[in-house]
Amino acid sequence: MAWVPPPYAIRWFGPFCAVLTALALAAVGAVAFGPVPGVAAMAAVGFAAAWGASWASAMLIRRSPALKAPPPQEIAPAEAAAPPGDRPEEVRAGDAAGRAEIHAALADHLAVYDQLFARAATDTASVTAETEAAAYDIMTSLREVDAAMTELLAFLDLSGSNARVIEIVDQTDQQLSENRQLIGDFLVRRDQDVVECRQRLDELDVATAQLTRATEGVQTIARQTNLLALNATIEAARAEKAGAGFAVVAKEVKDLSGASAGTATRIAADLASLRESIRENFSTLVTDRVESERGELMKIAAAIASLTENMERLVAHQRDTLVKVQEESARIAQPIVRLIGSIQFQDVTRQRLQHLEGIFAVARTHLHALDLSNPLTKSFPDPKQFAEFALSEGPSPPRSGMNHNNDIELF
Amino acid sequence: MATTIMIVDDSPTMLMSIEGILTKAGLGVVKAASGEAAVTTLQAGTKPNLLITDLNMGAMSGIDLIRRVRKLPGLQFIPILMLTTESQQDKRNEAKSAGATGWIVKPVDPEALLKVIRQLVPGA
Repeated sequence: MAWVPPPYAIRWFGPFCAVLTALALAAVGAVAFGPVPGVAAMAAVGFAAAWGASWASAMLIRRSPALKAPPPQEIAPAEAAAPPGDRPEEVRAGDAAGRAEIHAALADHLAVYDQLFARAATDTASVTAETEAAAYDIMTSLREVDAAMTELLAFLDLSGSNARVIEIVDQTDQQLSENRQLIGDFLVRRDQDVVECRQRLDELDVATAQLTRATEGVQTIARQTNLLALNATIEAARAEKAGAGFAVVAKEVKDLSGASAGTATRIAADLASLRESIRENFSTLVTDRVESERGELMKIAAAIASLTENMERLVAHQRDTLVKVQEESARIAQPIVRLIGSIQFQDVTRQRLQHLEGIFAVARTHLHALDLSNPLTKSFPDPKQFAEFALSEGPSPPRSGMNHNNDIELF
Repeated sequence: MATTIMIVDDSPTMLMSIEGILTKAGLGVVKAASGEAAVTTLQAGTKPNLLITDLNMGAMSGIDLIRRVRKLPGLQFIPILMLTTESQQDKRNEAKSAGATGWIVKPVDPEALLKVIRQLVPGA
């Protein structure tokens, strides 16, 4: 009698196929639409579709007259390999027809699963290739960003930009301070010059006053000489002829005294004019110009002070900028390293997909072993073997969020 | 003398990732895309301070590579870390028997990886 599958095989064949299909579609969905919605949606669709298909086939099998024969547990697996007709006394015509119908239906399902497995294998291979290429591009870009950041920091360190700018500004500030000091010293010296000029002018006034007094003395002497000449003229007149010569001398003395008085008066007037002229020139040349010069120099000093202040602001800004660049570069370095580390997800995904491909291949073999029309089928495959490959071999189970679990063991 | 780490992995992305982590930490890196390439490089005289290898790499697995490396002169005692997605205890035991120093499951946190390296290579 031909071997028929035991009831538990018929009962679990549908769920088994549904789980496999759901697993395959969940893997594809996870890659295509993301871990949570992809797995949930595609797994639900795959499970429902496969369950429905298997339920229909199970119903077909149950209704088959062949399965209403003796309990399948009593059938030795070896008998399943015996072609129909070898023991015609154990095979009824109706059973043979039912088995043929079941085998045909099963073969149809297996063909569909073949297509599904082939499609899943193609998809997983495609996902592996695409994620690998994308991860490589991301990795290359990350390395470029990292290299640029490293070069920038190295440049800042090697060039000593901050220290160099501060040094330049310090030198400039020192020069500006020296210039301000020179202007201040110059103004002090100019003030001292003005004071000294005023002292010289006062001394000149004193000398001029002395000369004026001297001319007044000359004028006094001239007046007395004139009186003396007048007295001499009177005395010469009394002496009549004897005093005629003396009268001439007296007249000459009188004229001389008049000339002396006139000269003294002119000298006094010239001295007064000279003194006034010197004072006017001093006021113009010294006081006015010095004040004007002081005003200009004060403007220059103010400009230098403003320039110094602006340069100090510039230095502060430059220093803040450089410090900010260094701080931000250091802050970005850690995320870059984490990103570089996170690229490992691609390798983990690739190996999980390869493991899935392996599961599909084994599942395909197992499914074909269920095909009782195959003369090579001698027994149901061992489900433990398949479970062991699917659950024990391959990558570690996926974790939520792909976080680093740091499973590290030192021997 | 700078610390040199050899990385062996058939995934170019993994090679770049681990290389990036190590070079950022100031470590020297020698890469090999297969176990055979790693053996050739080591036979040519490269003496890394530590070796990190993947497990599944085609013809020569990471465990086969460890067995080959342990027979090379001067490399009997260098630390070898297995960096793999697998975590089965029997595989770990096999790697340990072959001469592996440690087992790390991918993905690994960069800081954790560097900590292990510094633990095994003082001064790294």
